[in-house]
Amino acid sequence: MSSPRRITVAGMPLRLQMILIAALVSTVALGASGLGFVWYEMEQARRMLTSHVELLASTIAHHSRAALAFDDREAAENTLRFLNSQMSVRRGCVLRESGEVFVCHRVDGVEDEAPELAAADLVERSIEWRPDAVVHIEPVRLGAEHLGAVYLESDLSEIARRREAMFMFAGAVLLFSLVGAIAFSAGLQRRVVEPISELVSAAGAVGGDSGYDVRVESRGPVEVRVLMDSFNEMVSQIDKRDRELVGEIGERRRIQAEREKLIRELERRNDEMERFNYTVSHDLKAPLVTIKGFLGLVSQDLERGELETARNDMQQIGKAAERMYDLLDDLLELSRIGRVIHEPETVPLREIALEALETLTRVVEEKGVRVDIAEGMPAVHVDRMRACELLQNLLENAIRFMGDQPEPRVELGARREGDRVIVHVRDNGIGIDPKYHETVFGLFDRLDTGAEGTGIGLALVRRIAEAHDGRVWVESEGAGQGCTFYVSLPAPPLATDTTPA
Amino acid sequence: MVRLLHFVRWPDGVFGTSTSPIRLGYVGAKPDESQIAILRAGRVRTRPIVVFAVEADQDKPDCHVLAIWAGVDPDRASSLIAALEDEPVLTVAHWAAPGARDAVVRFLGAGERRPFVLDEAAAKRAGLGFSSHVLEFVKREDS
Repeated sequence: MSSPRRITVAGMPLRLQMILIAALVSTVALGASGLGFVWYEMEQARRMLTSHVELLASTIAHHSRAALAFDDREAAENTLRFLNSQMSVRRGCVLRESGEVFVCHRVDGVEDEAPELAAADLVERSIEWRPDAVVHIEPVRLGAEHLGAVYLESDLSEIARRREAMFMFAGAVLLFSLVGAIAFSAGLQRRVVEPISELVSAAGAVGGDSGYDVRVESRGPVEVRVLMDSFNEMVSQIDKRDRELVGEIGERRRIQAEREKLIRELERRNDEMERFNYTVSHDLKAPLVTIKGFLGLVSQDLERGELETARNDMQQIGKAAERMYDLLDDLLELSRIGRVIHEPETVPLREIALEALETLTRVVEEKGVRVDIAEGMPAVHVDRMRACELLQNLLENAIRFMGDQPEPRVELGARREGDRVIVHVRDNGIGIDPKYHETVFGLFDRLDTGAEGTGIGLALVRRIAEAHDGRVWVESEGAGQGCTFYVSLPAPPLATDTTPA
Repeated sequence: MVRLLHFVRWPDGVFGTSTSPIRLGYVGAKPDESQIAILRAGRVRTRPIVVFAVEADQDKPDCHVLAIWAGVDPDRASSLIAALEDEPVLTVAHWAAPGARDAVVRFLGAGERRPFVLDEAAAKRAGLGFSSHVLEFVKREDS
């Protein structure tokens, strides 16, 4: 069971913090000032009441001197009736020197017991604050003679009412100020917090889905506007440096990929060169051995005078020389492909395919192979002559390796995939064991050593495909299952390719 | 007597200074010593009271207050009052003193609602004034 999350002021959003602080400060400040105000008012009220009662008592004492001096109760009562106009005084009495009540007057008319005071209590002026009343005693003197005292009892209900009114007023002011403080903080929030919140959101969005396109509208107080402008400038700088960095990284990656590609190419070329050296030395040596051998036989034939045999041997020497010529011719062609590429052009693939097939008319007829060139193939953007050589070699390869197929058939088709055209040449010939799917493209690699050709055709195909940034591969389920060669060639831009995909 | 003096105003210049005593002379039966003591102990504001008996041969005693007690010769009382008629002297007569009807103030005795009778004309002639407080306790007449 997880413990309840503790909410702290520091953890609150800035908006709530500002409202809370404004409310708290207003409450504390106004509460304190309100209490101070009420306290001050109460003190003033007490002081005023004291002063007022003192004045009353002093006046009554002055006016009671003669009444006390000449023992006239009626005159004293007349003097005390003056209290009827004083709301704050509840009861007033004139006491003799001994403490005996001379006259007593209750303003509210209520009859109650007269105050009991000792003579000693009447000698000095005194004021006593009781919970519900304040009692003032003012001595009455005639010269040095102490005649008695005036006793005044004031009601504190007026002060209590005033205190209650003060508290209500202070409470109303506090409430009003709280509302004002919240309204003020809301206004302040619109001016300060909202721009800052927007800035916080924008800062959180930097580097996210929006990347570095995040900007904030500069608004609010001048400090916030400066902050927002700085933020925008900072994001712009980051964006700029990020783009430069991405570009630099991309460039480095591209260079790295190019270098790796070149290394691979060099390695492949090196391998190829090694095999070429070996093959050339081996394959070119074979006709020379034949020629050398038959030259010896011709010599013997001539010594024996067997001219017919010598002629036959000479024919073998001619065949060997022809074979050597073909090998050297193919090698020359292969090296030329690696060096010379004509300007690419957009050509319908079917047109190239038919052109290639035309050069193979004799062999097609000899082998009785049915060759189907698909209709509606896409155009390709290639070195036309090399592309024709490529298709010619693929078709020738398919026609030659038909084996004993009673219904030999070759099919050429193509489809567009993005910016490439995938060309396939499918046959139902002898097929290729999967373990040879890669080596068939090597120089002078012939799976069937008895077959015609120099074994350079598929190497040529691969060289031409690679010269077009393409590749070639073969799919076959194995011997006797036929095979399909695939070549990827560059497609023309879509706007210029009017043929159906 | 002393209480009454608190409410009397003499004309300016009658007393030398603010602490000059009030001279109280009396004629007639000599008061008790205790009464004399009370008078002598009394003060009217800042002024002490000097009490003395008016000599028989004095026709116009030098005093501020002349108390005429019972037992005085009526003619003597009348002549003294007449002699001091225009002087700033408060003449106070006991109710039982004959020949003192023209005194500024006459005591009527204890138990009376208003224990004094004030002759306002005589007071005016003497230049004396009375506090409004005391006026409530006197019977006022105009000779």
